[in-house]
Amino acid sequence: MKKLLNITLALLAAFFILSCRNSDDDVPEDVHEHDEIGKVVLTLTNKANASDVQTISVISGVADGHLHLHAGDTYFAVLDFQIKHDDHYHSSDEIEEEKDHHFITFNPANADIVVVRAANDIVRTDGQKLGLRTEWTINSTQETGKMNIKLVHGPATVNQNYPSAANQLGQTTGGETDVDITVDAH
Amino acid sequence: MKHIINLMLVFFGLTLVTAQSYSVEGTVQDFHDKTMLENAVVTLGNSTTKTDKKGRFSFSNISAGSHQLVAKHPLCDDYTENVKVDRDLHLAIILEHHSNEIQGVTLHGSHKTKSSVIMSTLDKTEIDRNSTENLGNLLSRITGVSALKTGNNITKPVIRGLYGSRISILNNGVKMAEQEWGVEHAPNIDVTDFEHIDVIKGASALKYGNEGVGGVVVLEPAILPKKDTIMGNIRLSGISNGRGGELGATIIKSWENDWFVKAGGTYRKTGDQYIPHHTLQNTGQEFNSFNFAFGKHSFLQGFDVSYSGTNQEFGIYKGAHLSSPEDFYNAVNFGQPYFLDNFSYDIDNPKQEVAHHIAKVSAYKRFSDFGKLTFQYSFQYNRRKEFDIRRGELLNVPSMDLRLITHSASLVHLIERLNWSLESGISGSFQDNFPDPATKARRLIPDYYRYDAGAFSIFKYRFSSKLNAEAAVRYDFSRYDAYKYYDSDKWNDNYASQFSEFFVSESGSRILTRPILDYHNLSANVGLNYKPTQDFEFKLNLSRAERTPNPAELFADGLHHSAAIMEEGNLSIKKETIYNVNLSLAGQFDVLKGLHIEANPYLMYSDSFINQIPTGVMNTNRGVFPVESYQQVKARMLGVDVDAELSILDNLKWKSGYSVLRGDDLTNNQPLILMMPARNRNSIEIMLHKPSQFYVTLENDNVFRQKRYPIANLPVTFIKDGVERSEIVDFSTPPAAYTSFNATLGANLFKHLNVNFRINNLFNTEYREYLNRLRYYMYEPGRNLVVTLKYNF
Repeated sequence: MKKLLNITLALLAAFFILSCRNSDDDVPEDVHEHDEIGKVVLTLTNKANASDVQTISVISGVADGHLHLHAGDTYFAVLDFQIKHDDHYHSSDEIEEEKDHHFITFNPANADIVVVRAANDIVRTDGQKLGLRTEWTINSTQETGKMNIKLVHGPATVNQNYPSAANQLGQTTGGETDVDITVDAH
Repeated sequence: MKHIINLMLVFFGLTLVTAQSYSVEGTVQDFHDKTMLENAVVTLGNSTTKTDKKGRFSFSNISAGSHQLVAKHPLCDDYTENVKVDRDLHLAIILEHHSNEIQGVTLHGSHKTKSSVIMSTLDKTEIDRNSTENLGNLLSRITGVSALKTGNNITKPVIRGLYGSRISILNNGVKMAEQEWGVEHAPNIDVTDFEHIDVIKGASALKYGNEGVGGVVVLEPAILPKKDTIMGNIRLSGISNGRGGELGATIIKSWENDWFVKAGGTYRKTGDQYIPHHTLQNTGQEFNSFNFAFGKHSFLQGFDVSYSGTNQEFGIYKGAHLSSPEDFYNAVNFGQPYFLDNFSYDIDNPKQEVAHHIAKVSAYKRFSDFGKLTFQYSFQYNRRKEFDIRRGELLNVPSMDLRLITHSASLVHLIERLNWSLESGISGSFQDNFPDPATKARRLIPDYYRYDAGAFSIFKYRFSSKLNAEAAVRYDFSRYDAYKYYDSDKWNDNYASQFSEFFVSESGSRILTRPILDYHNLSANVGLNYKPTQDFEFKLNLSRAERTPNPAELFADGLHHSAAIMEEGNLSIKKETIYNVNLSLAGQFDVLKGLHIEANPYLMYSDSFINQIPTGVMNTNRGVFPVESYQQVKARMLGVDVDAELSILDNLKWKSGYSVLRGDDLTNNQPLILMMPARNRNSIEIMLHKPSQFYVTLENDNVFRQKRYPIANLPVTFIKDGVERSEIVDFSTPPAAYTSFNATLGANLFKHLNVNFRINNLFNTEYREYLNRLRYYMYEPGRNLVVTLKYNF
């Protein structure tokens, strides 16, 4: 009996001693979120006025400014999705590389904006254009004008010609929304 | 012979040289509790007598010479010995009359003793008839027990509204470790491995640790016979829902000299699950388990070595894996029909791979006066990989990869006497949790070591054959030693002043901390068991139990893909203290062939109940999410479980169970979330022992709508068709009441071959369950026919 007791106490003591953390050697490394698109940069260039370039960054759903859009003008819009690494952001080229698993949709509110996917946009294998590069024609805007942009990952279906081939805001079903941002546009 | 423990010959008196006959007298006593055994038949040579109430016997006029002594008792193995009579003798014969009950190293709960714990048991028949179910679904057959689900592949048992860390699961004597990881992790258990499953309701089983403040699930393997034999079974099941199957086998070899060896395994594969009229994409699963044990169990001493392991891979329904508030709005309101149908066996991302391995060594020895000592050491290895829909080189890298190693050891002493028993023990354990940073995703649960040490004592006293009482006390110490990174603003806002000693370093917007948290827990309970007549039994149990917060409650940090919630742990959380009153009234009535009714009201109160409460919102590039943090509130739960069993004819039985529960968060003056709705379960069984053990059972399950729930909805703002809209996603309202039917039919086809047909959801009813966290996106499974062939040898 004593033997059993001794063995037990020895084992208990042993694994408490062995399992103590030895100094700070095993400090785990920090990990940044590789999946999360921490920053979206939207650059608009006025086709009629090359000096009218507007850049807006959105971090944590908050934009650092708003778009000034002139009715009647057409803008060339480029989207850049960025991932945080330590304390800086870098562009993700994975969306382009995995074009068949991604799709971008646009949703204006309180503004009549026609979106057409640009000739130099990335074309998916199914012939649909991704939406990284688009042209926005501004018919009219109001003070409360807004533009919502979504990046959908792995949608079940995509349709660039929604609501029509002349206005390609785009539509998806299913999938995960990786980006859902809204910027003021007026 | 083998159970005879001791024979002492005490010589007394003078031997008269000339005498030719002597007197022989003595006592027959139980070995482990020292009870004097009445009605033991003692035969010496040609003379036979019985022991009296004090266990005494006597023979006179026994002639000198060798005689065979045989002592028999109805509950004991026979004892035979040759006795040389050459003077007057006093014999103290010690028999063991519990040898068939307590051979195992694991004590068999308390369902064989007069105890005050409130317990329900699922026996082998019930397990066999539902052998392809997981533990959560199987246990929800017990009144007052339900299952908390995340889809249909992840189910956790809920005992009277409490789940997760508040329930301890004892797998062959080992407390399963992985419940620390939060709600979306189910216990990994092959139920076919076990002979019976006990559910102890309330915090009255302090022997199994202090964590099980809500209850304990005790899974026990079969006790093996002491004879030279090989036995076992082979099981083959076809499962219609998921178009899958299961193959399992168990083989046991035992020897008369108390040695045994056994092995078993199960493999199951199913494809996408059916809900009524559709299949759900990516809901298949693959499961395998293996167990092996050997040892020697004699009455006096024994040991065993065992291993059991399970591996599981299962898909998460694609329609429930969402990531923006607008997605939740669309999925909840319009469904996601494009993720229905197209049946497949493939398991794609999102999916989980889960492994749980347990190795155990235990040994015991009985000492005639000192009692029984049991030592146990166990090792557990848990791993959970969660695969999400990721990009680029991370496509096949899990986004969460947790590894948890647990070492536990205990030493328990048990002494039993005629009117009392005292069981005391010490235990210690160490856990190492490692979230692999190779996932390249932030850790939901951080790196930590956890140390535990505890001591307990349980005293049971028998006042009379009608009245038994018990009292138990337990102390536990727990320490977390963790490393965790916080966003600087979160740390500075919430913890910097309170926990400045945990600060290690700052780099950019991140702060490394090393929280070292200690908890001292004191738990106790007292209970009474009163049985005034054969037909009536009364049990009362009062308990106070303290629990150390689990790592999710302290440290969790991340988004729940199925619930649209950012979950945040809270370092400030203290231990949780829960008070419990449990009452049981059971009666046997002379109605038809016998009616048994048991009512079990209970009350739970806590002033430090750890609960998830909405505490704000978080802006992200995916939208605005509600943040839920763990906080401690005053909580109260009260409810009642009622069971009735009526034998209408010898072969016809009706069973009914009803449970209702009311849970309140008294601090915020609102109902507690996820309280199981009221439920009534009825079954009728016809059992014909001849010709071939034929049985038919029809079950009806009525679940009422939960009308008491807190409101925690998700407001969403989005643009649709040129208009900005603000809507509410209703995550709170519980689903409608439902009724479903199940049927079971079976018989012995041949001497060794048994067949069992089971149909769950007989009428393919569409219904949702409040306790399924994916209920917004899917119905519960449709009709499922399971055919099991079992060959016993």
